[in-house]
Amino acid sequence: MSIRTRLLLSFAIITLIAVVTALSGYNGYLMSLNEYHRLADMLVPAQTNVSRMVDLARELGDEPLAYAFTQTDADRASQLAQFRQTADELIKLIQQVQAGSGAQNTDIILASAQTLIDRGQDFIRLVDQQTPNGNLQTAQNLTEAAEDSFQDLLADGAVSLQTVMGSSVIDQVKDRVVLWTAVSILGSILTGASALYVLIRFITQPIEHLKTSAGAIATGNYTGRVTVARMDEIGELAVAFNRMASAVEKRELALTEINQTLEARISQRTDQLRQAKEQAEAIFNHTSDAIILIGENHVIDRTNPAFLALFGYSEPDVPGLTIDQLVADDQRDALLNALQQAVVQRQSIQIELRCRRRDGTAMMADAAFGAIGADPYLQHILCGFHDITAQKQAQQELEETLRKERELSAMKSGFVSLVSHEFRTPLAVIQSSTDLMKRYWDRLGESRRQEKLSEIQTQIDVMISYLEDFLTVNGTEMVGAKFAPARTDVFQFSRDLIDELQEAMNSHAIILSTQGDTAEVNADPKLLRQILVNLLTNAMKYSALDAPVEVEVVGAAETVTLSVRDRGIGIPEEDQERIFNPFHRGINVGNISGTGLGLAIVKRAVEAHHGTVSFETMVGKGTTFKIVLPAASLTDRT
Amino acid sequence: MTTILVIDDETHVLQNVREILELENYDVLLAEDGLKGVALARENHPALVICDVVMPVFDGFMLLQQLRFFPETSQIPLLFITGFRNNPIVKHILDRGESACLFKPFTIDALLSAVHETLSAETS
Repeated sequence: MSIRTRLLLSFAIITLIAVVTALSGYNGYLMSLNEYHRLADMLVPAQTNVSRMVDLARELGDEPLAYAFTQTDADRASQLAQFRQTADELIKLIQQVQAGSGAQNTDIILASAQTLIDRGQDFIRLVDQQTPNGNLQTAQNLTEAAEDSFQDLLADGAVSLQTVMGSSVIDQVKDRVVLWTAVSILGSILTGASALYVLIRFITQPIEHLKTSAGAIATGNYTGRVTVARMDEIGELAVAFNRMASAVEKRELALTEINQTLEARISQRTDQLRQAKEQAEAIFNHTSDAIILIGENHVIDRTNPAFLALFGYSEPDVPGLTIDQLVADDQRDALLNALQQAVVQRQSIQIELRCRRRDGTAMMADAAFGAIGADPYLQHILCGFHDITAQKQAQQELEETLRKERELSAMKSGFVSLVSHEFRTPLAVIQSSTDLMKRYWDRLGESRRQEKLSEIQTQIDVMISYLEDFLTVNGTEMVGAKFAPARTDVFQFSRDLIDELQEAMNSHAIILSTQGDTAEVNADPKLLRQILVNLLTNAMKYSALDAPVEVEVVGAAETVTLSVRDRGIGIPEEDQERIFNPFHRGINVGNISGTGLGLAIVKRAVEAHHGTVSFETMVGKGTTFKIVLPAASLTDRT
Repeated sequence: MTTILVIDDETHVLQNVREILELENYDVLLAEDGLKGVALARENHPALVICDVVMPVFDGFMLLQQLRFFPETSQIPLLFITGFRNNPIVKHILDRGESACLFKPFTIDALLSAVHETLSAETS
């Protein structure tokens, strides 16, 4: 049953009880009060009349004789008539009472009134009989007797009246009023108590409970629950409240946990951030690299102590200073380009810049630029400058030293090579010539002996000349024989040599093609032979047996170009620069043998003709050597 | 008479060798470089080829390869004369184990005994 119903029902019952109680009480009260007032009104004249009767009796008693002697019969009769009238009135009164109330009291009143009437009648009779003839004594006695009787009668009447009024009316009225008043009060108390009970039992108490629990939750105690085992709104409210409390408790726990985790993380992050900031600040302030932060229009916003030291500025110079004032004029484009790249590419850009100190002195710096901030139009760029002037200088010196060292080393190994080969040969000549003369002195004859001696002399000269050549910057004279140019047709020369080669070694096909009308040069045939044979044998040596070698001779107005193309292993990039150096061989030659002198000989022979040698190569694809010699028409004139 | 081909790249060493061999009654053929030497060897089938290892045209190893390439010259023994003890070509040749090598400078006795050894090894 819902509280509303309960309350409505309770109030209906309470109201009914209260109304009934009040009506009953009021009714009884009114009834009793009416009765009382009626009786009281009626008894007032009765009492008055009884009092008058008493007065009359006293008159009769005290002065009956005097009265009897002095008064005429007419007076006596008048007074007696008056007495009778009074008695009759009393009877009427009593009858009235009898008619309005219970029989019990009426009987007593009637009896008393009858007695009064009887005594009055006795008195009247006695007076009538004795007064005219009787003596004074008798009259006196009679009067006294009558007085006594009357007194008794009065006493009885009073008692009767009292009895009638007290027991039958007043007491009844009083009792009823008291009873109903008590009932009313009790009813009211019951009503109030019921209402209070209902309120307390069903509403205030659970709400109070809820309030306490809610208060507990509000102060952070989430474990409290409400126990209301009811099926009404309060019960539902309690269930809902408990559910809410559980949810709140769970959520609170989760929140507390999250909060703790978050706080721990925040604290950790804060520490990390602080540390990172401190570290960054420390780096910024203590690094030996100049670090500046530039903003809009490349104006310097912030500098570190190293910047001031490195660039020779002092703190007050910095405001308004732009980054392009820090570099040499011809470096500004490179700087602006790097700054733009740093902003656009969003990555660190590193370049070498020639910087300018405040006093105008130059400094080589390794500069790094990095954009800070996401907005490309509102950015700061962090710029770092590392002074590499000394480093650069050292690097240059080192490179120079290294180059010299390499040259020396190459010369040393060249010298070793020279001694081991080029000196051994003349020594071998000297040795064999000496041995020849010793062993075959007689059989040689004078002229041959002289020949041998001059050969020994020649070889000694050769050795000296080698040594001298080697010790000069140009190094050794690899070509050997003296330059003896003669007009040579390169078309013919090539054709003959290729025929000869094909005859000797048919392992590779050599294909000759020619362009132009003539291809005449002033060349030393021996050197030209060395050039061509070296190039062709190299071409064959470093390519597969079935790969053809192509020779092209182009005769132009001023030059004769001789190209040898193979489809061989090619020359790796790292060897290309030094491929003409004596004793140098490509790293990819593998088991293919060689001295490393062939191309050196070619180069020297070509240079002896004031020609040029060049090559195009691709590893694994092949190499083309191109010899350009001045045409005979040119060299004839010189 | 035993024919010996001497390939002479104008170092004068081999001229002396030729002279010695002629004085020792060998029939000596002379080639100016390896290329010409191969042609002469194919033509005359000498009993022995004496040459330098490092030559401007055709080094010793190429000469060896070429001689081995043609059937008529493939059996001809070679005696190399070189100054390079550590030259890769020399090592390569010696590694093949078929040719003798005479290091410069050398005495006539050394030359002649090397020639005799090579020839007798061939005939035996």
